[in-house]
Amino acid sequence: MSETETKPFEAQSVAATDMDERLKALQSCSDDCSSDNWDGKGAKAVTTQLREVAELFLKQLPSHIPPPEVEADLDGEINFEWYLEPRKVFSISLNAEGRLSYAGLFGPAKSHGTEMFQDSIPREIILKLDRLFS
Amino acid sequence: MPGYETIEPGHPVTRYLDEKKRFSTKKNSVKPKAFEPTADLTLSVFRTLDLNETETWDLAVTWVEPSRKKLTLGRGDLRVSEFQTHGLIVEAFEPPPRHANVLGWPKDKEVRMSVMQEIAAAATLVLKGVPVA
Repeated sequence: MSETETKPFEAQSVAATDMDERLKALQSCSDDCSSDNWDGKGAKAVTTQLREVAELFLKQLPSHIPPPEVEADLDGEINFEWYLEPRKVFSISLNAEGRLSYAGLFGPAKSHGTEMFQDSIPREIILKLDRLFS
Repeated sequence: MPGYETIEPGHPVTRYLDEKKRFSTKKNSVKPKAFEPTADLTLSVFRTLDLNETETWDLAVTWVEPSRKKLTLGRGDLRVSEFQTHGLIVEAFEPPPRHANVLGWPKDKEVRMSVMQEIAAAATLVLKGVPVA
């Protein structure tokens, strides 16, 4: 892809190469952001523990959900974003304890909240993603 | 008539963008993480009242690029009121000239993310080297 956008939903399954790319992106942002102040403005480091939790999260995404863009947040969390258009976007930020902070715009509607990622991705999160791609 | 020294809801501000992943040329839009505040919850913008296009880009070349050590690729334009609608404060913070901080970000991460999405959706993408329509 020439841009960092999520692929169209018509691609109903996640190609292994797509997931590999996302895992590489996770590794890359984890490596690049592993020290405090990685942005020169006080950003917090992404810990190894968080990278491991984030990898589990990525691998547990349902196959019908396109892989997200993966980036470090300035507060040291890992962000997953599905960006379709300005008012069709869903973002999740994960911390090392497994807290998932999420926010989404679904046309005129919006939603935000928190869930915990423990053994599996919470149903609420999957429902939001299904709504985004419906 | 007051100049840019005062900050009014209708005044234009811009967020300079130096990474391709912060905008979509396909959707002609700015992405939410372009408006992510720093770890101490501050977002840097510039006030562009009464500046023409050349002068607006000159601000980036003179003040932003040397500090970021990156070329500016585009910018997200919006009104001060777009921030104020979400309870944020735009406060002059100079030098450099016309610089301002956006403060008052929600402490809760998920609310902050939602505000970033709303602000990005309200912003107008302007790419460097592309004439404004």
